[in-house]
Amino acid sequence: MIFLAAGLGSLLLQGALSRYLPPAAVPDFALLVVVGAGLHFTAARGMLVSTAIGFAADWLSGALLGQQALLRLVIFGVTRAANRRLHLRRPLPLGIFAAAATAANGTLLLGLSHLFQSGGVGVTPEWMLTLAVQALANAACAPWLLRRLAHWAAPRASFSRRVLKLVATGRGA
Amino acid sequence: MRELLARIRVYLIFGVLLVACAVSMLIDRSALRERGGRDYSRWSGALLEFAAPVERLLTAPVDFALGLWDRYVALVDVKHENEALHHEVARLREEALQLREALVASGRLQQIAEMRTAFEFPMLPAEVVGQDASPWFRSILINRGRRQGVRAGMPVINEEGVVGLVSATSPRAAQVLLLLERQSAIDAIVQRSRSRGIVRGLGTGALGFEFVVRGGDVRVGDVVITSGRGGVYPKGLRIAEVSEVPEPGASLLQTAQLKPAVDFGRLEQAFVLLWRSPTMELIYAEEVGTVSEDGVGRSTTP
Repeated sequence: MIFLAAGLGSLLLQGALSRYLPPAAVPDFALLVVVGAGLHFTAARGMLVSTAIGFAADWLSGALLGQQALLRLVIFGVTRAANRRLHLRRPLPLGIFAAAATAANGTLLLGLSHLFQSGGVGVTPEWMLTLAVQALANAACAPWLLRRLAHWAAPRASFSRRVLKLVATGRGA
Repeated sequence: MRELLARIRVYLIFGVLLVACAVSMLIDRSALRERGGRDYSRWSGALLEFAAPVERLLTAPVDFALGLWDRYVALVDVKHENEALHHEVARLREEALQLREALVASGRLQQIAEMRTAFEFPMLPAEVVGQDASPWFRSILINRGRRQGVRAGMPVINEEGVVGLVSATSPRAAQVLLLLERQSAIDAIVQRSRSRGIVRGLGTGALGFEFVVRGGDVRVGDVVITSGRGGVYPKGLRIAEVSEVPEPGASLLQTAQLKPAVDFGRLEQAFVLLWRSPTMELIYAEEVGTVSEDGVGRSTTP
């Protein structure tokens, strides 16, 4: 629930910050929350949360409904797979992974836009600059944001785990 | 069976979500193609409805601080400026009075009044409360929605020119797809030479003007306006200025670079034209209950 709320809050914050900063310089907090879900959630729960955040992003942006949801789902899956090999809880690998995920997200969005919507242009220097700036912004923010998220989510997780344990042992009744 | 389901549960959820996303995209694409936008109901538009006041709340302190600074700087020499402006207003009033008299005398005032009736549409001022959350799309969020008469497909302008098109509405908020968006395409003409073409958003902050080379007279500095033929925007709205014209090559179609008339980086207020072209009204005919005399569709949905 905290990740979902954080994802929705991130989208609103991004929308507000974009009024004062160049859109590319505003970190994609919602994408980072999905990466965080990939590190801390079970597969089923994480997929649902990531897709919900993606749909919310579609609702609040000019994207087709489902476009960003699809990519968030894919990024969640890739994060889980990468975490098994890359120790993504460490700041440096996490920063690098966040940058790569941002680049992949931007490229796939462009691809999907071409596939589903006619017109538009391909890869331009401006587009590449936007991608690079946002990848850097996300890489810089990822370790801090995900540490905060893990911190907020941890007490509740342990509390619910404790409740489950009590119920399972019959001592909660 | 239960064991098998438990084993494939994750893949099943992944597959269902994947299909849901793809189906949603296909449905939304056809909805956008057929109707030019989405009018959300109270429930489906809840997020848009929620976003507008929250984003306004988030930006209010920054706007307040920036406004305070602007007002403070503007206060310097304001007394002298005020006096000078008073004199200027008095002079201009006198001049306007004389001009009006001259127009009445020549019988042109009636013609101008008729032209205004033909070209002007009711406009609704709206505040920009948020930008697109993603740098890959160009849209804004405004604090006016269906309750104020805003419908998907209505043009949005400001004093500088065309801003974009309402793409989604909820009861109290609306999303506007900017002119710069890749999906945006407007039938336009060059004001000087009347050369016709299509203005397309490049998704980068610039615009492209596709025109036929043969007979197409397009020069740097030319003003490009809406032609009124695209079935979306009324005729004569300023879109952009030609900034670069490529050397004519073998291709029949050329694309000139345009600089948008609107400064999208400083967009704070805009006006929704409470008007939809006859084409758009036909498209929306199924969901629109009645069409009022001023051409504004009244949606029957809550």
